[in-house]
Amino acid sequence: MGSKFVVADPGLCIGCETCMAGCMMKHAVPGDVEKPRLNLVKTLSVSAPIVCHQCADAPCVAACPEGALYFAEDRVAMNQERCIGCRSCVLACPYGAVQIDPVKGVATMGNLSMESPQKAFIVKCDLCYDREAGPVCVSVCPTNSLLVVDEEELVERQRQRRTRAAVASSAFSSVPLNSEL
Amino acid sequence: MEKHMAVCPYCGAGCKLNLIVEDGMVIGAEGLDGVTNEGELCLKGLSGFDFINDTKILTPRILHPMIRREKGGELERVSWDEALDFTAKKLTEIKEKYGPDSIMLTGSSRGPGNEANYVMQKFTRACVGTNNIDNCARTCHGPSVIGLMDTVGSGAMSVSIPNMENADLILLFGYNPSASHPIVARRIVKAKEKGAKIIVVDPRAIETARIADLYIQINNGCNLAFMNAFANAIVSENLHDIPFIEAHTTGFDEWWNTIKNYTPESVADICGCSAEDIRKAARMYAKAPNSIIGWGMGVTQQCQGVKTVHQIAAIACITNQIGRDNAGLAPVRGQNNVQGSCDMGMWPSWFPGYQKVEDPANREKFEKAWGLPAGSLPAKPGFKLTDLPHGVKEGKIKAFYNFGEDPLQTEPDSNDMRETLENLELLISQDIFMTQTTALADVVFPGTSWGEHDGVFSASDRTFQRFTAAVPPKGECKHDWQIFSELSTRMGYPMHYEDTKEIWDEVRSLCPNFYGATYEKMDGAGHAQWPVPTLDCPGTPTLYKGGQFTTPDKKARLLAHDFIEPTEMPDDSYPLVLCTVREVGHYSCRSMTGNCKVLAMLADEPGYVHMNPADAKTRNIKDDDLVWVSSRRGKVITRACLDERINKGAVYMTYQWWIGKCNDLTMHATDPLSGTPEDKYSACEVQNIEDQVWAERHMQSLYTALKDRLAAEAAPQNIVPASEAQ
Repeated sequence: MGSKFVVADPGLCIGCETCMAGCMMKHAVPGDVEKPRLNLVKTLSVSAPIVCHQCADAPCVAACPEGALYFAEDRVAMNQERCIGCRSCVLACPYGAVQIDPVKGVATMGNLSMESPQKAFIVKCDLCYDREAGPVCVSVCPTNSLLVVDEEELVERQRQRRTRAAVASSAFSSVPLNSEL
Repeated sequence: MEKHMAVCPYCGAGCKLNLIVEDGMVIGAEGLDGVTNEGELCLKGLSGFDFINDTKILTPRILHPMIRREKGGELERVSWDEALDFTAKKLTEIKEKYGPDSIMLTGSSRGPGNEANYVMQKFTRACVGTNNIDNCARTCHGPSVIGLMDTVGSGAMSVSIPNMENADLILLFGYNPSASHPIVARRIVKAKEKGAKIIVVDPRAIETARIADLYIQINNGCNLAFMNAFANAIVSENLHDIPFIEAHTTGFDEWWNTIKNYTPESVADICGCSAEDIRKAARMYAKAPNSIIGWGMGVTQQCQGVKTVHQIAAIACITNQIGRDNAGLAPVRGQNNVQGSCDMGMWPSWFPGYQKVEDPANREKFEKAWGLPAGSLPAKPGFKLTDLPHGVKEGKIKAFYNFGEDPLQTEPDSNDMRETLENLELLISQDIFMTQTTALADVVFPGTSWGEHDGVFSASDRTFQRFTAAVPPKGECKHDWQIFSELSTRMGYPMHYEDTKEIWDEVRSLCPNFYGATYEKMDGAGHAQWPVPTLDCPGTPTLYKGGQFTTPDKKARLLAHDFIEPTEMPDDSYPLVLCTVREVGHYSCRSMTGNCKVLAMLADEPGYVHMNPADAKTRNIKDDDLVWVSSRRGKVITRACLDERINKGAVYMTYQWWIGKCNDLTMHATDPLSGTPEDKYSACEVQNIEDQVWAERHMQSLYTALKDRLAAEAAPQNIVPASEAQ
């Protein structure tokens, strides 16, 4: 437990793909794959980027025979070295948020650098764990429609909803409540 | 690492940003706290900078001047002196042989900025001696500029972008801000968060329709019928403001004489919506304390664009929803500096500052300022950009000077446009990229790119903002204003400027409404919103306060017109309406964004034709299939996107694709009042392709061949001229 995830508010999302651009730029470094970890989906009434939920009981982790996906402190993390490209995680993920991409590796021998055979690479949100300011998509969204949901955020939302439910329950009180209060 | 202040070169929102430079390369962009963007950027602002570095993803940058010595010959790199001498000689010959009006020029509403455009129109009028200068507003918001000048006096937004979020109601009519201006769409989302009502009237269920309080899905091409009925509903339900109408408008009775015939019930079929929805929208709009109408190309790229703008302005005036900070008119401009091109007089009938060329007092003023003999400036308005095809066919236009635009991509009926450009005696293209248009040019002048020069842009809401150079010019690229000055000097009208500030100060001295917009006022994240008549004036976010319109009698003119059908209605052969729209991650002809890595990876050829799933099903088309789209003008390959947001019977293509090129299909029919093409309505058909493997290969081969051809056209620039070789 204790994992965090990025989620979009579909009312505030304007479908502009700035989150995807920010994500690609973050991952445009050697040894990484320059692909967006969020995928914008548009239906008649909803626009929202869909991204890994860092599930507490993640099907992708369970499906990986090599332990390339595993639970880190606050996310589902990846060990790219172990990935064999079997794509079981792709099949297992209910959000369609995991992708396996082939990348060409580079092997060095002395001064020589050679292209090594294709290597499989897991393309999935890593919550920008190595970025101090947190996920880049959240920072760049021009309408602030993305947020990081953590334990605190969930507790706060639950608290608000319980309060609202309690207030509403006055409607079915079997004895009249003091309306002057 | 260095940071250089700039204004985003994509769209009219005017977002301030820093360009981040390392080792002479632009490597990043970050939002600055500008008046319109408040630190935010969209994907283009954030990742649309690397084209400056000549990535050659789509097409190479032009770094050296080139000429074709013979029509149809090969391009050859020459020295600047030779290129300018050659061009001056050719232009002078054409001017002497056919007269100055045989030469046509277009300004650039993109990266160059106001100063470069000002110098170009000065060259056009003072040196060439013609008013044949125009800009891409002709193809986009020209009808808004003309229609608003006719009715309320100023061809621009009456409200400011920041104030949009404080409106009580926003009506979007033929305008999709999420794709065209994400940073303006942000204000609309904020308005909604603050409790504003949103009405969307559009054939497509655009992004904003999802948060609208009322969405009315109308038929394509019904705009004037809808707006006439909207006005009819207001008056027939007594929601108009009679004291305001009497005090601040003229022509109400005559206006009503036409409008009274347009009951919502009488046009419901034409509009494809219920009469009650029209009435409901009219009530909401008129009754809200402060309402804003936003519109875009959905209004202007139609055969009755100007007339529809007349009606939109009339509706704001009769309801007194104008002249307050949060109430008014919002035609949000497409290109980053299209407002600026208009401000600078890149228009066949205006000097800079919207001063009419036909007025002798204006001509006298400019003659004096420009050191010209009395009576030398031409009084006759020049050709419009959309006059080019028939102007060439009729032998009236012999030379075309294209500055930073790509008409072969952005104008309708590109096959006809290609013929037009090929039939010119002289085509000059001053650009930063080897575009499809530049590839046909007889003279290629390499201008500096955005990021390599200073200047002022005008955002869509009349906000002047400065931008600065981040890196030095590449190769032999020269500042655009230097090229015009040097050419003008060779043609007998010497011009010389030290820097853009000197040019801007000349602009200010000649345009009373811009006088107070000094470089000092626009330092850093500063800005100045015109009118800025004095040095003390901080700018004017809101026009027409207190019902004081900028027409000669200070009153708004109410103008009404009857509705007519679009020019080319669907029929059995071409049963679908084709409407051209915008890609969120690409801009204009795509020469800039197509050379940006992230933007090119997010969206690439051949683009999509968006269609209702029902229309796809009857044609046996699946999502993501490659398909043919054909019209009476041509046939192109593109990819189908089955999209529930699309109305049945219509398809939508973005105009950024060079292979899936919708302008091979569109038609050169224009609004007679503005010359704006009817890009939002023509007839087409979509056909499936059985062999998808062949189709993918075919599309790829077309794309590769186009990129190879453009690279080959640019290649001679790498051959150093013998005269310069050591």
